[in-house]
Amino acid sequence: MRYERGVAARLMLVETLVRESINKVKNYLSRLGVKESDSVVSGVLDNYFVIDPVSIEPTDIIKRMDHMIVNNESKFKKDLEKSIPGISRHTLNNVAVSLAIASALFTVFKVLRHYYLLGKKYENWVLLMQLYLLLPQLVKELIPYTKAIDGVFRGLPIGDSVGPMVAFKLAGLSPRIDIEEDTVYSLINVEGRNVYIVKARGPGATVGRPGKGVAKIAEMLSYSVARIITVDAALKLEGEQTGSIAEGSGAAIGDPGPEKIEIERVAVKCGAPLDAVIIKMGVDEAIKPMSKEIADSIDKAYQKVLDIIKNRTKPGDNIIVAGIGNSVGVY
Amino acid sequence: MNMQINNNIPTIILIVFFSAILVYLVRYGLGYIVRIRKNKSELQEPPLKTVTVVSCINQDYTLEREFREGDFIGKVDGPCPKCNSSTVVERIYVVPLAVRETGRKR
Repeated sequence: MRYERGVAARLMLVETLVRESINKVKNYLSRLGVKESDSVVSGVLDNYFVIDPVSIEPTDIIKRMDHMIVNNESKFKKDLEKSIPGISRHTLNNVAVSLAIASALFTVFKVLRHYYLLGKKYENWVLLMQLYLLLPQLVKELIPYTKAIDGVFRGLPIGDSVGPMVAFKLAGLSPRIDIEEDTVYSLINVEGRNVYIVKARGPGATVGRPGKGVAKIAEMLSYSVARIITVDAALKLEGEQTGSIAEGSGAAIGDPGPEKIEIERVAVKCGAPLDAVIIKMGVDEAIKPMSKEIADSIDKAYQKVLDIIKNRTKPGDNIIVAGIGNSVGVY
Repeated sequence: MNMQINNNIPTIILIVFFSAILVYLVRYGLGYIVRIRKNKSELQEPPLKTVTVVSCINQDYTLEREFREGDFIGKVDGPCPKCNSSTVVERIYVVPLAVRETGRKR
């Protein structure tokens, strides 16, 4: 009885968060001039799921997974464009990300409610007890998602934007050239080296397709690439300091697989070492508007990337730097 | 006299026992109220201020100002008051409103 009441109270809190997020998105759509914002939001909440590809036969699983993710994304954005005609690409991306956040919160709520009702229906106190113990942590983890929606609407960089911000610091205002959907690159010269900087196209909220961008640049350079450097936000362990920088090997990118494998394959094909520079932060800090602590760490990460370029490559080399993450609020 | 003290012992034990229960209930009740308030405050974000840092492309001028709608990193923000070249939005971040930072000119 005690567990049931406790779970019901916490579930109400989660429901409040979900309703708050949905209302925020509806208000935002109304401000953009969408008359039927209710139907747009409700049409998104339950739809656009992706079914995992068959894994019992792993041949070409990445291609199949990529195909499904890309198709789902493009279907989602095309449907949004139909609902909000004449919307700019940046605003469309902001709306898409906000709706994705609201949809994710709604899904979490539905799953929690499912287990709560299941526990009540079969008088399964073990299930209710687990929910009772788990919910306080879950509620704390879900609150930042609600707050993140405001930041995306206003076009504020979030914690996850550190990768594109390091890329911006390197590229400055040099021209952005389209290389993939929602992905751009810039070419700069660092002491005689050709540095190709890949990032998602800003200032809209999108992560782009940096893996495919890197692959296309490598192909363009006939696979003559001396080094590939990825910069991304990484989740810190409790006790670690927010904004601390670490350097390692491999592709620093947190996608389901298709983008990461592209970078790894290209690195192998070019015989290029793959460096990873990560900026550590908590999961809530990664989705909320960027704090000063994280913003201050960008200079250190930039310096680290410059050191790698200057000390581990020779003049005349081609180097690819990929700033991974959401480019909301970053050109 | 001795007889009277012996008769009062169970009464004293009962008083102490019920006082302890009373103290426990009051403390538990207060703790419950604090927990409810804490849960409600979890939903409320402390007020934040969004700061935009604008720098001259020649690095001779930096200004911290309040965020304006439409600001983004890389936005050309007008001429530099020192050298008349362009200023660019270099950083946007949030700080708690309590530690309000003043504009800084270099």
